[in-house]
Amino acid sequence: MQDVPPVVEVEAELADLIPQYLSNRRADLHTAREMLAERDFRAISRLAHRIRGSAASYGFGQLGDIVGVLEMAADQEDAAVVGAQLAAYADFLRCVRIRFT
Amino acid sequence: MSNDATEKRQARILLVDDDPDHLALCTRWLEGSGYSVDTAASGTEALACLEHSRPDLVISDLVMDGMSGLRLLSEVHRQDPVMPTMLVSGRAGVPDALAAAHLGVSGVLEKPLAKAAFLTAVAQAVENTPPSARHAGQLATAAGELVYCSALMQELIGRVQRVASGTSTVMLSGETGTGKELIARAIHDLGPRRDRPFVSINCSALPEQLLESELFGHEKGAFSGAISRHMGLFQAADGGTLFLDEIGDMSLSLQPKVLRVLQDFAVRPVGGLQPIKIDVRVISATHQDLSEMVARGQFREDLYYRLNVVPLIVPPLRQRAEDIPVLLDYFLERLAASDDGEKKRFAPEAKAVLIQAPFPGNIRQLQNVVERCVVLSSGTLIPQALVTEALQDQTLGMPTLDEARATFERRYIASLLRATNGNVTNAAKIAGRNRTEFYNLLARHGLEPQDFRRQGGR
Repeated sequence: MQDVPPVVEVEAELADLIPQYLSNRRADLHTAREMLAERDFRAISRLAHRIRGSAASYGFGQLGDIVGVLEMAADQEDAAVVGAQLAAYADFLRCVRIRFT
Repeated sequence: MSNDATEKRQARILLVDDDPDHLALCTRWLEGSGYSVDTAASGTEALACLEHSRPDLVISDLVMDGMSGLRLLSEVHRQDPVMPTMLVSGRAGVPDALAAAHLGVSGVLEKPLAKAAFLTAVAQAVENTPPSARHAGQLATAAGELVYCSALMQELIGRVQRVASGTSTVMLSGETGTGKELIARAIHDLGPRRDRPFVSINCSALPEQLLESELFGHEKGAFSGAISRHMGLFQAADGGTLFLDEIGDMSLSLQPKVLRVLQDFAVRPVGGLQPIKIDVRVISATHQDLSEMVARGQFREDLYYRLNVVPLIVPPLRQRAEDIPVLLDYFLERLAASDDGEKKRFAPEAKAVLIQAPFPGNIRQLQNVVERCVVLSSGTLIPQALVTEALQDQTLGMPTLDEARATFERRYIASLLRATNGNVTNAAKIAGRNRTEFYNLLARHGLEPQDFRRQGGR
């Protein structure tokens, strides 16, 4: 559980893209959990890599850090760390607050 | 509105990424900066998109399902070697970066992208000339400028620079319109003879007797009509360079006389007793296959080897399509300067059509097409339709009615003078003109009746 709700600053010009972006990340979380259940670490790594590619660009740097560790853990097939990172991912999505700049 | 903003608004970018969120983000950034954006979710989709439009820049993700970014850009460059391209990747290693550099990719950007750095890189790739054009060469000669960026032309110019300092004869082979005279002029201008005369003559433009007189000159009274001494072009070029264009059209009977000059370094004007020493570098040019003409007995073998000490091949435009964008830019610039007007530009699709066109008339034809498009386009952006129309017009390589009429008139008068042995009264009578009118015609075409009296007078 996040102690302090993360506040993300996002450029105002991206405002209308954010709902879809967050919706896609929730879908990814669901997919990643299924992959973990199937121990498909390669697929988790690919998914995490893709999320990491745009997270910071949208302004979600903290999410980028979480999926960066997730990608490394998946590459090492470390189920415990993958599970922990998915929990952190879920917390982030639940608590994140957005301020448009 | 600044020109910069106009440029951006007109520039079109094809974005390729299998991550829809990344595509949406980059599209927003680019459109916010005035670019027009097409998107593709895969390499296959991107290639389909390129079939019907040509962007100013292709930006592709490196790692994608199916076709990778490297494979896509390799295919893009196979179809269009000058297309600017960029790669973005979250995991580009050294091998990928090397492969990208080998492909001529403008840049490899690392994900996650920072907006400012991304837009700066895009602006550089779009607003600068294509990658190959950044290495464009431009060699100014007294007769015009050689503009190029292709490896073929760089190699040729390297050879031109090496042969310029020597005195060997040079034979330039190449199709009509490839710029052989400019290359000859460059050899002269880059060498130690640059301050001495560069004299040029087209061997196909004059009748044999006139060409002989032009080349070697004649003494006063050498033949009837030779009322004054006439210095030949070999002498006029003393210390400099004589350029014999279309040497393949020189008659077999004149060829040994030219060979003698090249062997003796001396010229004897018609009617003269003493040979006059000359120091002339001879550069010749032809669009014909002289070695084949030698084999068929249509060109003297000894003269061929004397003229062909350094053979240089001027490649046709279709073998160096990379030069077309820089040539387009050069011609557009020059036309804008000569008209004191705004420089126009070709729409990306129009430029693509030009790059892929065969141009049988080579640079001369390209220049005509550009000039026609500039004259006929109403705005600053020249559309594809205008280019297609100009390319389809096969008459662009043909002379105007005035040019055709002048050529015919000159040949007709020369044949009349030959037939009448240089007798102006008789020639004028056959032509249905009075003497005054006929003399005016002679003056217009630079023809001298006495040059046609030699056969009977000698």
